[in-house]
Amino acid sequence: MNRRSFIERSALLMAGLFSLPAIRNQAHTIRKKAGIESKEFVFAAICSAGRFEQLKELLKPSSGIRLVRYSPARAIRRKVSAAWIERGYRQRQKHIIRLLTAGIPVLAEAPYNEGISAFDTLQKTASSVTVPAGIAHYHRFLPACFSARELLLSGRIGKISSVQVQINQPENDPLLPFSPNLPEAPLLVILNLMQWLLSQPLLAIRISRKETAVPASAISSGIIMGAMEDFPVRIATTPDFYDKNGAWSILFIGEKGQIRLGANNLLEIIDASGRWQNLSKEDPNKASLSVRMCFEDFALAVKEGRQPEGKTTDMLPDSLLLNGIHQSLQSGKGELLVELPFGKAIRL
Amino acid sequence: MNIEKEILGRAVEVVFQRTARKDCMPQTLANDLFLESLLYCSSAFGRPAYQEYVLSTISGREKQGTVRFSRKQFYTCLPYNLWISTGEEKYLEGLVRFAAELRDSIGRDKDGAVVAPDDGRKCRISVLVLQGYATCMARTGAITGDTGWFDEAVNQFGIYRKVLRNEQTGLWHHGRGWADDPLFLSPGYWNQAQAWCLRGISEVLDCFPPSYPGYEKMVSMLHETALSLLPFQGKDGMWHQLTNAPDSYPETGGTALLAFYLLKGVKKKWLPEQPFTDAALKAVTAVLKYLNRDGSVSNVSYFTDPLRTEEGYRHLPAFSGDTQGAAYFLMACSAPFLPS
Repeated sequence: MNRRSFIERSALLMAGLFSLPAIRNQAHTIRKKAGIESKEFVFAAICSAGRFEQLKELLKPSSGIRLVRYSPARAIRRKVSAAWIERGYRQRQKHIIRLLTAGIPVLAEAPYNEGISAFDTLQKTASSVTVPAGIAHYHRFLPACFSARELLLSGRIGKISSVQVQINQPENDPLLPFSPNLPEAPLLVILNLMQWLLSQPLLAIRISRKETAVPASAISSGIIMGAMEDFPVRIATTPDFYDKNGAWSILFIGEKGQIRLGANNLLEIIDASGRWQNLSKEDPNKASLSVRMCFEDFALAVKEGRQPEGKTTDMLPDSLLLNGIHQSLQSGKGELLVELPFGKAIRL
Repeated sequence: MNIEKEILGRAVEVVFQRTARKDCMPQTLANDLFLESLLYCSSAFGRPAYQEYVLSTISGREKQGTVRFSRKQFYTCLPYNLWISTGEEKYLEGLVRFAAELRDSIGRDKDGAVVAPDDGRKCRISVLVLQGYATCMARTGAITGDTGWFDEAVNQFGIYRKVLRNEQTGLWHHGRGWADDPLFLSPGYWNQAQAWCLRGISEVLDCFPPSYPGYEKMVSMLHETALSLLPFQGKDGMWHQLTNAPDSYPETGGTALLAFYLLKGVKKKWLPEQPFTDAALKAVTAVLKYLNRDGSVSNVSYFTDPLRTEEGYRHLPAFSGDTQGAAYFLMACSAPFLPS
């Protein structure tokens, strides 16, 4: 079908729908059933009760977005616009696949999986359906993060020579080893953010164990050396036994200056002036704002028929990294995350 | 048609505004492809500002003493595109000498196929090398009127076709010899490799007069390559990271480049209007859905030389915001409105 015949057919169809009362009524019923007529974008939430209330509060200022509790897929198919999945990282992927297959758009928190084959399964489903599958990368909507991306893009600190990441890794309680959270998740979130900020993948990593006074897992008390295309990345993890405050920072070192990005909307730059300048803008609502913007972006993407900011392909670097971390912990050597062409090597 | 043009024009502007903030002075494949795509957009949307941006970048490079033609980056030929856009012959200075040096000094493998410039073993061939080399030869032929250059381009396509094209699927392997075994074929069919292949054939054909004996051979090669891609296009209009694997992720870069060259083929009457126009317009519409609010384009595969495993291609990450992705996107948006 060429463009002209498509336009002609569409015009004919629209003229028919709005001129004949019987058909118009039928169209009205279909639209009502499909929930299109409602201006509200309704998310069916699959999450804990506490998180549901918290999120409902966060989304209050978003006009046109409403959060309801999830009910079985058959029942919600025509009453909600999308599903939002947070509960248990091990179950997320299963839920995403089922809902997508049922034709429901899904926004989910990262479904971490042990193996790269699990990513393939997720991608296979996402590629076979027409509804969007979104991954909630809240950091990408933080004012400091997208300002940092702009600064890096415009070459404000020149060519990057190295990156240093510091992160407080939550340490599992040895008495309660079955944590509902993936221990590596905070690290994966920050490294995914770093790759997004630089628009390029981490190519290799090597984990070195660091001795601490209190026994801690290798991942939370080590130095991880990473490599991107033209520069090294040094990741220092510190065990966080008590606070679980998720503190982190990324320092980008360039030939003309440095940019520091961190938790609580921290953004600082040191350029030719030689002084650190704080570019953070005080905003007590910044964290909630980023969550809200993530939901709004997804709702708009569904309405406009485009892809959301976070997609299933964004899970690929996380799966590769998780796999690489485990391999490196076992081998004690550097592990490639991305296959390199013959003859190209990376030193760690 | 006007509304479509307006939408695409706005998308182009957003991507241009974002990508132009980067430093495009270094002579890299990504930067040169971005500048080339701006020349197409300038012509398609009637916006001289894009061409002025390219000219100012080139003038900045000249002040820095950057050589116009380089063996390190012959995968695009920006000066030739500038000559087409501006009509100024100064951009062609040195092309013939460069092409002659390239033809005489580039390594060739046992079959006579040109190899990657830094390959001492003389066995690493890739679709990217082929399209860059053959285009350079054909363009030199168009300038000098010497059909010997055309013969060299057609001959290389003939050799590469025998080695890299799969007779069953009609798809092209990315390369050969990128392993210990000099005859090792890169497995799978990387989407961007198909797109670069189509680009090479089209750009070579663009230089040939219809009276040249190799013209029909190249038209037929373009037709068979384009036709073999259609069964692998997804319902949504996208081609996937591994062209013949619909379960791999939808890949924006290759899809955009394929759309551009399919439409170019139709406009130049090398390809029949149908089914190629529909496929290409479907691809342009699909690619548009991967444009982010900040002007970055997502799902563009990380660019690579030929790999040794299919998994390697399948698991190449795709981050939004790189210059090459923007270039592919701009080319796709300009394609429907380029003068034929």
